[in-house]
Amino acid sequence: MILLDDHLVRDLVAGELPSEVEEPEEEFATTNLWLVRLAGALTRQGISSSLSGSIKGLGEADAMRFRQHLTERVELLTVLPMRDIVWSIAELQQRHREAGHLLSTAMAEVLAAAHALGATIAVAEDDVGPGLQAAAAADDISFRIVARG
Amino acid sequence: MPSYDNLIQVARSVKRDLDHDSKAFRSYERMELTSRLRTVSGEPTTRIKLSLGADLERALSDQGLRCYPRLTETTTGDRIRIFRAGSTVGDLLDAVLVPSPDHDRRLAEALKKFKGTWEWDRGSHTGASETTAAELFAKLLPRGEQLEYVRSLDDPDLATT
Repeated sequence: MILLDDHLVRDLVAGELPSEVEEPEEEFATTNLWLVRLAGALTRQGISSSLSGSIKGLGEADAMRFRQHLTERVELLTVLPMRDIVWSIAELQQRHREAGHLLSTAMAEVLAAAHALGATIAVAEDDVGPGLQAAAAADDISFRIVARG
Repeated sequence: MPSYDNLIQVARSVKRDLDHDSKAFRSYERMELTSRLRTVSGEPTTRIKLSLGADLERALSDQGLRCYPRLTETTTGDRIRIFRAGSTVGDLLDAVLVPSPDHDRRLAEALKKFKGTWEWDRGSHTGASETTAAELFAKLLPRGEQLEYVRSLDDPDLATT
């Protein structure tokens, strides 16, 4: 299983996932907070979750199929519920902070999800967290930096 | 003879599988369930026959799970699919297997949705010049815009660190 960051989830929904990640048998996952960041970016672009809300430049039919496409793509991803991993997030954040790896809550969730799922972490090359990369290496979690051309 | 507690342990282990992977359904070799039952009961020659199969289905049901084909209708070497009761796959199976006007409507709705997705994803029936939903997404949220948004975040909990 590969844990995609918000940039790669964006690529997945846009049909632009780099071929080095897009393998037919591969299962994808992401995290709650990476999805929050994706939703934030969409909201800033004027795209709301409201079914009746307009989307800049789209007619009603296009807006509806856009939302359906987004929902269906995101539903394909495994996302561990926060309640299942909150203790792990807190403990990992504390342990790695003590080891000198600064992890935001979002990055600690990534590490906790990778532990729980036995997943490889995949991040876009233009947004690599040094703390997350170091923590993954320390915990023997596979970490891939994906070039996007 | 395995106890009902043993069957509950097997049912719980299956539920844990689904919960762990956040799945609504999963296929199992019937033998996999037999092996789990042998392990938890400590009885290495146990087989899931008719009566035990019915009891295991009840234990699964207590965990909110159903299976198809039924354990009572299958034998060693078969595969079954276990799914969450009330999930979409459960509704679809009921719609296919149990003929009724209500299930006809459900099946028709599901097929319509599936067909719609197929058309939108591939643009097969919409004309080559029409923009697909994926292309619309790419246009509405270019990579650069998302990157800029993430870099502009002043929330330390969401930052890339």
